[in-house]
Amino acid sequence: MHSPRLHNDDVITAIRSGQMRAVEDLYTQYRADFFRWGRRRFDANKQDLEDAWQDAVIAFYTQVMSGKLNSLRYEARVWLFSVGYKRLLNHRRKIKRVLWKDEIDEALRHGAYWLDFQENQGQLEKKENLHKAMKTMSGQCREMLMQRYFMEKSIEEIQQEWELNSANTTSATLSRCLKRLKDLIKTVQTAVIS
Amino acid sequence: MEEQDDKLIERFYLNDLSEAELAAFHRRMAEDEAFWEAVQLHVDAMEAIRLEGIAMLRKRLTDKGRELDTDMHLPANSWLWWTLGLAAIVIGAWALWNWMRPETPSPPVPMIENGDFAPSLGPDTLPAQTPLIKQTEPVKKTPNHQQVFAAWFKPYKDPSLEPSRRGGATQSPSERFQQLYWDGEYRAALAAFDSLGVSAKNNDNLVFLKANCLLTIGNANAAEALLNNLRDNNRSRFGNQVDWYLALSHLQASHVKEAEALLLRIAADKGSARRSDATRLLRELN
Repeated sequence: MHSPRLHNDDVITAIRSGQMRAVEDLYTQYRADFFRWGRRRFDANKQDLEDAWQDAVIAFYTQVMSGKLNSLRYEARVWLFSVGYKRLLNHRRKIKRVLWKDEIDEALRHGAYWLDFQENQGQLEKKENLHKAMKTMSGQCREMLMQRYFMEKSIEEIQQEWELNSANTTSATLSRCLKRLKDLIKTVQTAVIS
Repeated sequence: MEEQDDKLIERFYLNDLSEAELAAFHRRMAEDEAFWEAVQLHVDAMEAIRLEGIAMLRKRLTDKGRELDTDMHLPANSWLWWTLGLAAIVIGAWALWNWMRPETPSPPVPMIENGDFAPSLGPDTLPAQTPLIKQTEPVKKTPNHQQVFAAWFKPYKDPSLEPSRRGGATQSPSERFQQLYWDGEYRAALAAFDSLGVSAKNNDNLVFLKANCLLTIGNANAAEALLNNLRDNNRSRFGNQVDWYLALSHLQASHVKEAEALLLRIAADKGSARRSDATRLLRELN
């Protein structure tokens, strides 16, 4: 049931090459450990810990994919715990103890992995509008755009997955989908203004 | 013109512009308002895709978390179940044997100084056959839910699922999964499902087949979680079968009340393909 432990570089390489399984493995590998660790420090329930842990894993994925995270000073576990810790702090959970001192504190003291999870009202509204626009798209367009621009799959990979005739057809379909998305965003934004 | 601009903006976003192109790009952004707006729109579109991607990833992790929590409630090794079951049988048999064996005369009981109220502990106070008489009383037979499940569960198949064999052509991962499913190789199908791409893993039709595989190998809790999701999504082309299989997964997981409630609903639904099955199964359960 347990996945083999991935080394730092392996996990980054695996994620870059589009292996979503690597993200799941990372999530599985340290989840129970994070829950235990989080419970000792925070007055948090299981859902808070789950949210924080998911945010940490997602942040890891997006940082790797955006090229901001190319190598790790500490092991992946420390990175994830530090980000999860910050996420729990942001939710203003009461800290049970501040006397704990371990490698996570050390990493945080050095200013590593200090991501910002705060969002203001304007950002939330904008997010909501973008979500609305995305939801209006057809399922295929939505999936294809995510594969291209979120998972950064190549045109050839997308062509293969969707069994399209050629790379040109795939590119044209993607362009059409992106244009449609932009039109929808414009419509939603205009509706909000008027 | 617009198409060219879109390509230019996309290249900018991918950090694919040369220094000269980049300088020209920034100049145009400062001077041309329509171009600036087009860049902003592209940024918004990328943000929309990123947010959707994150939501998809979160859903995937939530499903994984549920799966992990379900596994945690089961003992890690099936031998533990066997040992516990065997121990329960041995203890039960020993207790029954003790209870039913003919009473042997007890050694004389020393009289306790208790006046006239000393209870008689002799063996004659109870009729020897009482336990046997009790045993012959009619007892309402409760159905064994696992047996009922086994009698009713068949992995879903219809002609549309039969894979078209394309000569020597290589199968795509999702075709391989469906082929294994069709061939009844359920464990191998589950392994094949794990290696599918993200969109295929989120394909509710394939997830429905995965749930069937899980039921076949006895992982009812995981199947329940998947079928519950399918029910909420309501996107699978097997939608009219989801409730039936969810009821069966409740039964396999010994969640009999949930199974009965769902079966009642199916039995009451005139349009349900499983209406008569649900009625008959309900009768068997009661």
